[in-house]
Amino acid sequence: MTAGLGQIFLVVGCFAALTQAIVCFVGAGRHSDRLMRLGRRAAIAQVAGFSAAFAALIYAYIVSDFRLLNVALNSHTDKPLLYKISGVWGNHEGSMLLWLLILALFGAFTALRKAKDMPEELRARAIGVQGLLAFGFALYELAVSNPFLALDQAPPNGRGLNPILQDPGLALHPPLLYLGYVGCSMPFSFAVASLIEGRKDCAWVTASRRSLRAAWTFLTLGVVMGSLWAYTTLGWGGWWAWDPVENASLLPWLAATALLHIAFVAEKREIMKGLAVFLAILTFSLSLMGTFLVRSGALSSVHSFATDPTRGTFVLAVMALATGGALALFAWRAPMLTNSQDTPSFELLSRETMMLVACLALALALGNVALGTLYPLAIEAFQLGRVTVGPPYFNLVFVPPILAMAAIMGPGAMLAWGRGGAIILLPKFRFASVVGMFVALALWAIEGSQAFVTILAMGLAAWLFAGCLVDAAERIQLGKVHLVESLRKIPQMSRTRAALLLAHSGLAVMIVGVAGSAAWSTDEVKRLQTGETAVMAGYRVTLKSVGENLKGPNYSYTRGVFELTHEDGDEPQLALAPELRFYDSPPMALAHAAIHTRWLTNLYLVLAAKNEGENSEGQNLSHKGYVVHLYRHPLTPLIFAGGFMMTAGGIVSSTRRGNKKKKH
Amino acid sequence: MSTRLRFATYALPLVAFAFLAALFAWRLGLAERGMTPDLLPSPLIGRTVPTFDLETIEEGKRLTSQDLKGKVSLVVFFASWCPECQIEHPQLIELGKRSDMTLYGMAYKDPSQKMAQWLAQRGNPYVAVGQDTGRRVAMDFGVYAVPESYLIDKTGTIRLKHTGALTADFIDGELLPLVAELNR
Repeated sequence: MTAGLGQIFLVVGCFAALTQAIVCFVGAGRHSDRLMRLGRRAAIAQVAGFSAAFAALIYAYIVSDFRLLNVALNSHTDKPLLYKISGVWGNHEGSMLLWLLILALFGAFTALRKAKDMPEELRARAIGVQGLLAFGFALYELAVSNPFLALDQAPPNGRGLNPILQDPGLALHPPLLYLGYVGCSMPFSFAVASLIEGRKDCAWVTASRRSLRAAWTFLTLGVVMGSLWAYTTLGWGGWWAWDPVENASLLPWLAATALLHIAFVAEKREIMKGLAVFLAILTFSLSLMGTFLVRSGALSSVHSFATDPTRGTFVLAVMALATGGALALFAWRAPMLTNSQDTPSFELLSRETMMLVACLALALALGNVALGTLYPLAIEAFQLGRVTVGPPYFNLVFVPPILAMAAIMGPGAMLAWGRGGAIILLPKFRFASVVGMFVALALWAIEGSQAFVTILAMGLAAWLFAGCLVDAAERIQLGKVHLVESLRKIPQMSRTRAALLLAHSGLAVMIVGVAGSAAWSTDEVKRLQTGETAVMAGYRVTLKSVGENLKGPNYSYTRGVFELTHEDGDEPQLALAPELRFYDSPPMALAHAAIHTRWLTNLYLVLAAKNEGENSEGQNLSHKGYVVHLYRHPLTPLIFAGGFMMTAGGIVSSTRRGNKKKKH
Repeated sequence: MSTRLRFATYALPLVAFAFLAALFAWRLGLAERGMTPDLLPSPLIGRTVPTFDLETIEEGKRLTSQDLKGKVSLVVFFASWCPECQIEHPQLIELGKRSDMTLYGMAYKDPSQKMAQWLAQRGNPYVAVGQDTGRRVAMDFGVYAVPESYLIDKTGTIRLKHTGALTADFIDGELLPLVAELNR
């Protein structure tokens, strides 16, 4: 019943998408308001179809309808309700349906908007492109990834959701990322529509600006949450592993960030228009790659809970049409976007040049990460054996361009459009430079010159952060007028400027966190029996008691209660209780770290394993007891704080200014 | 910049993408033939079957590693609670009819009455079904997830391993050719 209904809804959505594409293109071609209106209605019908199908699937999960293969493979009656629901997108078929639904929602959002800031034909064509995308992926869903396949006989119980995914943080992670990935389809569709029409202006940027900002915000939050989740639940002491799936979420983020800035320049200054279009295509193409190809068996990953080459081939075909088509259109039409007569003049030292250079640095970082992610594939293709590219490569090729970018961002944001002037004479530039120099010199005195990268990173971050701070202070006239008056000016600040300051200072904070934790983290391992004490990372660590075979909501666990006292005795005692969790359906063990944050340092305690006192051959080992890891992670909380500040910047950019009217 | 050069620049992304797509297509082709990038060859391939001695679901009968000697056999780890095992079962029924290989089942974490009932409903292709209640034997074989199948030659050496439901492609493309070779 549910299976049949869900299937029907899916087909309805699929047809609505096709109708939407055809009617919109024909309507725009004939300048027919009636047809374009019909196309917009089809976009709304598409949302209705996919959301009904999605609701049907959620229902099947809630009532544990194991006649559906998808439910039987991914759910279990013992699962808490939250994970029954999040199990819907914890598997490939269900997550694809969510993907489709979000795609439809972005299309409908554009269809429902007031048309004042976009030409009607452009919008119709963009919705048409959205319809084509939705049609392609709905076919994919129906043909090779159908969540509504029925079993002839329902098994007594399901196999359960991958325990890694049974975490409140991760229940929200995929929807957030998908909102980000799929949101990038809007700039893509508008850019493609603009190419189809052969427009020379930047109406497509204006029309898709809100979607892009929303997508960037979701993407930022999604990546940060994913990292935070990996840090707290996987218990390996790190927050980023350069795994292909992680990279797949970072690549669109880097591209979207570049797009956000270059599109802004294109819109304001009528330059770099071709680059902006290219970035719009690149961002969405990387999102597609992130959603599908890494999950299709083409790249190896720890996230390999959904790999299937047949699907990969189908997705590759759809992607080849979408990206290949868009790039072909780009090769054909984009040369006309640049005509030298009406390019406004600008000096070398100006905001737009700085933005271009910063984005080139960003592109370099992007290219390097992409290269490292795809390198194993290429090596294998040219029969040079099989390799994995590890964190050392990524750190080496990612950090320098990002630092270069950070160095340009500060002065870049202070410069005016078109002309540089003498930036060195600006008081805020001088102040920021002094702060940056001071931090670098102080660190150099403490750490010595071998910590060159740390010193450079910290100095640049301080420079950037101080620059943002002074800029904000200047804008609210801090110190010049009364404090209350200054505070009142905060909501009146230009949204774009406020977002910029938040996001840029967020990056500075994040750089401090990354550099600090990379330079000063420690990791110690000891074996402890109950009652024993060991000295680790400057702490006296006592294993007070161990509870085994305890019952959690859907797992059993071993819980160690530890007491930590600082060696100097000047800090209060700490009680930490890490857990080692054993999931039953399907079987898997996970170490859940106990994290204590004191000031800006995390203490990260992991109960890794129990040593039975004999090895597999039955020989006695001298070390019996529990394997305990204690990590000290200085400044790590700043990594996530910085990420959340960037997200806040994204949110601010989507809001409207306090009371003053926007002036452009 | 000359016009021609400018047009060439704009076509560059398309060329790069075409190259990348070709690379993906090639790799997916490999994956389709079972060579997934995360596939590590089982360390047990080429080794003698781990020693085991298990009760079977038939009372009083036992299944030991000695039983596998002298013939080509397929050992399948499965369970009645596993939906994928239900999917692959018809394939196993077909394989059970063949005379060039003997099928042994390993009930993975599954009580005997349930398993007996499950097999009674669907047909039993196995000569014997060992009860690996404690998962000990599965661990020795290095079972990653059920269903998982191992092809063992006449000398008791593991020759092939397959994780997940048996597919027609795998059976016709890899399993049966190897069985024919091992019987030669």
